[in-house]
Amino acid sequence: MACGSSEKKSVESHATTFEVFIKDMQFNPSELHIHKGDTVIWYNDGIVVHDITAQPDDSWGSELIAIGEEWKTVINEDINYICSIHPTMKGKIILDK
Amino acid sequence: MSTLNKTIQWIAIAIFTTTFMTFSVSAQDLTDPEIASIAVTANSIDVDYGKIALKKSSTPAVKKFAQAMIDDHNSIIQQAVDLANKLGVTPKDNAVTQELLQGSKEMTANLNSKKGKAFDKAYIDNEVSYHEAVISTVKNVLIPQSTNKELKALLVKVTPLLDAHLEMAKQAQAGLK
Repeated sequence: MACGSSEKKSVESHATTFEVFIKDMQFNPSELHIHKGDTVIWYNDGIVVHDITAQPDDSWGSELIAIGEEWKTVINEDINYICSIHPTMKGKIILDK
Repeated sequence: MSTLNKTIQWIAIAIFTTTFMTFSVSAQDLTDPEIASIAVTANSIDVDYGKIALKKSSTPAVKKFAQAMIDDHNSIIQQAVDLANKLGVTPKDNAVTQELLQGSKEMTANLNSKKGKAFDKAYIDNEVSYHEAVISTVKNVLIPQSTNKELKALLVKVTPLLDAHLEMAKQAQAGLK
């Protein structure tokens, strides 16, 4: 058990936080390469409300992100996502091995 | 070519490239209060079209699009009003605003006369042409003619949103065929 806790602690200590900025109706960067367990924060720097919705099945996603607000989550799998309000906005998160 | 002639040429393009002409812009020099009035009115008109769609359509994709138009354009109206208040500018009614409202009156009557799939088609077709006309007017008339930096900046910031709305409307249009 102690070993398991140590591994978990080790994973946490290496976890990194990445930022995605929502502006001009785009996710920037639109493609992000991270490692399993990293955190991604989306900042809504736009002029309307947005959200983050996993594709293709809407199985995962955020609440509405108001103007000037942010939303974050830990990523454990490859994800394609859109803003469900504005489906022309597309992003991708790829876990590097 | 003089600036006025260029303006007239751009406006002519805006008019003749829209299949369902919802409004035209008269060639004239606009003041910032007039531009603010045009911006608020153009957004309000699309909010009203969206409200009609929420009432009349039973197609989920059309209703979802309409709700997005209502929410987004209301957000822009609020930001335009906040900016006008901050700058001490009172939006000023003008000939373009009146043309917008007259066009809206006719389109509202047209939309209200339809139902079912015919309504969905009329609403989405108009959203495509309306956004095309608005984008052209914002880019080629309102932004170049606005003199206040913050007003110009807001108009510039709105352009990608309008472009996205047009793309969404075209996708909705394709989905109805």
